[in-house]
Amino acid sequence: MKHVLIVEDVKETREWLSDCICEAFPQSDTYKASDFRSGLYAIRHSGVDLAILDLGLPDGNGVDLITELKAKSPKAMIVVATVMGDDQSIISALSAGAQGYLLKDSPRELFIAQLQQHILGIPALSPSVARRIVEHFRQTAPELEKLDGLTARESEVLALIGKGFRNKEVAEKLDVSLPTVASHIKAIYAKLNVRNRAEAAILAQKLGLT
Amino acid sequence: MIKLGTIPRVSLYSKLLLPILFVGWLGLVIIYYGVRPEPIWVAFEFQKITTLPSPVWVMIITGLTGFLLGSWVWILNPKNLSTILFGLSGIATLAFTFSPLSFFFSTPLSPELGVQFSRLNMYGASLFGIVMCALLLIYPARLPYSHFSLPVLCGSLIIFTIWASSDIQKIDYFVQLITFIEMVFIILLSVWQILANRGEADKYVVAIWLSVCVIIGSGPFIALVAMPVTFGYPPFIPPHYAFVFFNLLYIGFAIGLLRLRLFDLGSWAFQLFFHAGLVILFIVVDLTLMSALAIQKGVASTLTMLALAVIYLPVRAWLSTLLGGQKRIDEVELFQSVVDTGLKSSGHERAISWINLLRDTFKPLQMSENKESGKIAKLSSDGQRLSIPAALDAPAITLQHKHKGRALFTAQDQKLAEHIMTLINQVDESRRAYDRGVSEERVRIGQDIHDNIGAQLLQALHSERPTRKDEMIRESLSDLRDVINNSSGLKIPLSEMLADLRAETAERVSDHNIELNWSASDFNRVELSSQKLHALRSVIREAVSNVLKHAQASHLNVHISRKGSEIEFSVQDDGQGVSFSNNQKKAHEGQGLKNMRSRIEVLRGRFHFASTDEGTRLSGCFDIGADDI
Repeated sequence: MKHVLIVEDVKETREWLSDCICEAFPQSDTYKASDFRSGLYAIRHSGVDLAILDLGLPDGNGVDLITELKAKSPKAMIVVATVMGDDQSIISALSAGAQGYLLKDSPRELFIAQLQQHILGIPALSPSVARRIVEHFRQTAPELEKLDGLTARESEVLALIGKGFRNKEVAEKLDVSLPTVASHIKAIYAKLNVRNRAEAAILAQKLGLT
Repeated sequence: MIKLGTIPRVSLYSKLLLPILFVGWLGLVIIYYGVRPEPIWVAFEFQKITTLPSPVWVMIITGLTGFLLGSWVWILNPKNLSTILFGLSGIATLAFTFSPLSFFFSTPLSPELGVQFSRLNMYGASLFGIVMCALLLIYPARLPYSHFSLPVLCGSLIIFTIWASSDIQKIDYFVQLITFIEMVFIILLSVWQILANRGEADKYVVAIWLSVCVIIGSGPFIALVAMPVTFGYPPFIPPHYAFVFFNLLYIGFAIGLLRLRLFDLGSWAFQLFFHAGLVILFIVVDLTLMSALAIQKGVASTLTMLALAVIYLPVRAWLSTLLGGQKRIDEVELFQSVVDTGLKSSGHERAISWINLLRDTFKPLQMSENKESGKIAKLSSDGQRLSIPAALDAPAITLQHKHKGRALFTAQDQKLAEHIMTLINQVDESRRAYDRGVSEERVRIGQDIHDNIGAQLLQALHSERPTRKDEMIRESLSDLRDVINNSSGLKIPLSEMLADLRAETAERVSDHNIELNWSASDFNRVELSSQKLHALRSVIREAVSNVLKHAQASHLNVHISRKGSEIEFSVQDDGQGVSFSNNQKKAHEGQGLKNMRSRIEVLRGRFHFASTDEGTRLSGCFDIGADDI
């Protein structure tokens, strides 16, 4: 992780995030943006490998930054750092292309650990968000039936996480390895993104924009 | 459908009396001439109906149309001078179209009878013009001095007609002269009538309509036949064909009846006419089938019925909408705009939108606030006004002159207004219910924040140890997330809360080399009140915190289950147990335990705490509460 972008409007939290990044990735150089506009500037004018984004910015929605970053640097890892973000906005962020989310009120050590796990490809997924994703797929299924829904395994993973099992426990229960569980979660996130784009396309078609 | 309610039955019969007397009188006259000892009606040859030339049919149709429509309007509104005049015009039309027919039917006609028919033709034609002049003097508005000018004008034209009819030699010339003069009066009076009604939208439209009908209907005959003859030229077209234009006049009136409630008759008059038309058509078609195609009686009737059902009814419906000018209101669109109006955010916006909705629907020329609000939409001033009761935050409104004055409000409009009122009131009621729901929800969220988060932050503020402060603030944030995620107003199911708590606990113990053994029953569909839910979560959290901090345990068992109507829970570790050796520590531990105990006891539950050097066990139970299942 060379270039890390932090977009966070609360100064103390921005510093706290920056400290966490420093500890997690001592080699990285961090760019701190305090609002949507400067975040957008950074995305457009410098390479970003990892972005830690707040969703509720005073001058814009962090979800739009995700879309922008996704277009500019498709390989960048995008993690949403939220505290009050409700499940629905987390789903929006994941649908826009974020690879994961972290809670800013976690203890420092936990936050760093989860961040490092993310980089290693083990995304965190809370039970309530997992349940929301199941619901989301169920609701969008009739409209997007041509797109692949969740596979049986992915559904199982979501169901177990939704019941409060950790990734490791899910791996044990399903008798698979931890990386397999992680790859299922990543696949689910990617499908959210695909469906999101498909929905946008359908909407555009309905509005006669294509 | 037909609104017969507007005409009492008894008066309908009394209204029929006049035409019946007229027809009876006409019959007596014919019989008198026909059965005289020396009948003048001696014809040597009668023409067969099938060999009649086409002009005859034109005249028959024109005469019948005029007569039937005129009589119809007269019957339905017999005491009104304008309808009497219109009825008379129909009789006149019958007279001047049928009298020349005699020459086609029987040849040769005795000269004496021929003269009588020529006179009848002249009286009819002149009467038509006189009646139209009189009509234009009083309808739609009485012109100034009409009390004086009506008898003078009509009287002099009648005297002129009678005088002219005595000159047998020039009778064919005089008939054209008289009708030409009358046409000049008709045009002048039309212009006057239109000018006189400029101020009043509804009468103005009627005046234009009437004038256009009269001039287009009778003008061509005058221009093509009467005028040339008057000035000594031959007619431009055969007179019999020129009669066809009179049909336009009566068709125009029929449309006017529907759209403008001409002669104060609504569309029900038109409906009645159509029903009568159905009966006549049935008889005609039936007879034709039987005589022309030699089809048996029963079969013919069946075929006729079928033909009428397949052809007549759709044609009638089509004509009715076409002539009535009433476009069908798109129900979906109307619903959409009513809903949009009802859901506008402020009362002021709703009122404005409501007024715009009424304006778009009825396109009135004028809208005014009505001081008195009735309960239902009401028609008044013969359809010039439609009063709409107060709705939403708008006052009662009176709409005047539908379609910018081009039409009058009808019973259908009243019904439509009622329909819209019902819809808007329903939408309004739903919006109020929604607003009530929103404010209840706001109160609930406020209560939640006050009871749980506020209390916790206060505790955190007064807590002395920084780690304890952090913990409590985190817990507050987590509770706040719950409040936000739960903004749908639905209670969080117990199973979901436990799932979240399980994940959180597993996360917390994972750094401490403690093995978590979590067992929770399937609490499918169990919902706890937010107070109980919160208490349970706080106690388990706090207990787990204690284990992590002090117990140095390797195993942690959390157990939550349902027993009867109670929730049982326990948190057990295999650590060193709590030793209250240090006074300060004891005091603190005592406080934490006290908190947990009081949380459960407030719910009228039971709380147990036991600690040995082989571990600590904390357990409790409380009632689910009957209303929470």
